[in-house]
Amino acid sequence: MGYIVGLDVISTVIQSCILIGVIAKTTRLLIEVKTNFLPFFFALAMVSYLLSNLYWIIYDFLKPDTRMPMACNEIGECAMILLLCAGLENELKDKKKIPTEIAFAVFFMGANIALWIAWSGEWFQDIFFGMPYVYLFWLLIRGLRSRCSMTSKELWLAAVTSLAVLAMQIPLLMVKGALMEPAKAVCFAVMFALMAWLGIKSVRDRDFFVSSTFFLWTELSMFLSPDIYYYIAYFANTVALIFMFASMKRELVADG
Amino acid sequence: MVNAENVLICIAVPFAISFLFTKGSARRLISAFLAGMVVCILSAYMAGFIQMTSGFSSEDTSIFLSPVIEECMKLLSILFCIYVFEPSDERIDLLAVGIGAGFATFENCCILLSSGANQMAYMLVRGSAVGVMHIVTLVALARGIQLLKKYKAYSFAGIAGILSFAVTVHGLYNLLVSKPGVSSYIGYAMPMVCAIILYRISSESNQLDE
Repeated sequence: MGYIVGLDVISTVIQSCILIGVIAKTTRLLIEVKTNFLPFFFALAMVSYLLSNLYWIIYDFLKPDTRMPMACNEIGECAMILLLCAGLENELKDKKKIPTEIAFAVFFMGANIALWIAWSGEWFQDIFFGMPYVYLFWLLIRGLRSRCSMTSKELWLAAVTSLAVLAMQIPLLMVKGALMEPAKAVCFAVMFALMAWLGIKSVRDRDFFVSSTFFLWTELSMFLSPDIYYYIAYFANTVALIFMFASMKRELVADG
Repeated sequence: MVNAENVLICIAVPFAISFLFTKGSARRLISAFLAGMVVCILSAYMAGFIQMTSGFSSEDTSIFLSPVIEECMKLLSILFCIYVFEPSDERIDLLAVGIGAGFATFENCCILLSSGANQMAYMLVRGSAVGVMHIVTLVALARGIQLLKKYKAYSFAGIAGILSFAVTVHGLYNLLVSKPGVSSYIGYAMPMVCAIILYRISSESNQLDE
């Protein structure tokens, strides 16, 4: 248990250091570029994420072994998602409201929220903090389609794979014993394969919407992963922060 | 036990009378100051009610619930002013500072009356930490809203994001000062550091605009 808590603290500290670097670089970018809406809100989102991490670390030191009656650090994460949404919606030129995209965003995030509730039992908190993710997910789908950042074949592949991961999570809640490990291995292999593909695509395309999708998938994977799988997703989440900054910088420089 | 309503009447009446002899920015600042005090008492009522119904301890209420309630109430007051009076950016700043200062002053008055004013050091910390915190978060909220207005990007996500950001800063401060020791010293210094950062950002952006 102590080993896991130690690992938690170390990984959070490493992510916080990366966040400080990203914030510093974004602040410099803010001074250099003319359009400062996206970098400003991106910087604010990263500061919120950093504050959320700090809150968690400080709480762990000040009140060890006591459960938060209300997850205040999640407000920081919620702020990060909402501020990212504010930045993305300003970048999104085509805000056409296509019912199938909205329905898919609601269904997919609804399924995620249902899994969080099944795992934690916190109805109100999970639904309340899950809502910004629905909006972010819709913004990303709209952005990826309208900017042609992904082909329709790629979008279908991502949709089917992510739904398959969710479907494979259900037996993990119920299956016990010998079947548990193979079921886990298959589920997480698919989850990390999608993560790796999104990561590679983020590096190759340097598109802000693609790297934000990679970031969102790492977030969702963290919430769905136990033990060592959680730390792999956490590492990917930290890397995604750098990719997001790099893609934002490329887009801003390209815009002049 | 402090009768907060009586304290409010006592402080508010002289300010209300001063309306008769002021106009322009001075009157606006006094109104915002009064509004801040009213917002403070309403927040205290709400926190008390939620504490009673949820069964939270008073320590948990001050660490976890108060930041959420207080920041939501402060945001609602500034949003009301923005939507009803449609003020310029300069007036939004004035309103934010007035509401924040009124909120902090009234809260400090109630603390003074309940725990006494014998310890100079405690009063200094109280004034320069909690007092500054309310102004800083409200000015940050106002600046965020101004930016959204400037880029014509008024959206629920933007406003809620800025509110959540302010709640996180306030919550972190309350958590840090909840235990005595090094963490509380960091907590007491935090509002001043935030104020300096906010001041630097404001002056930099003013220079860029010019």
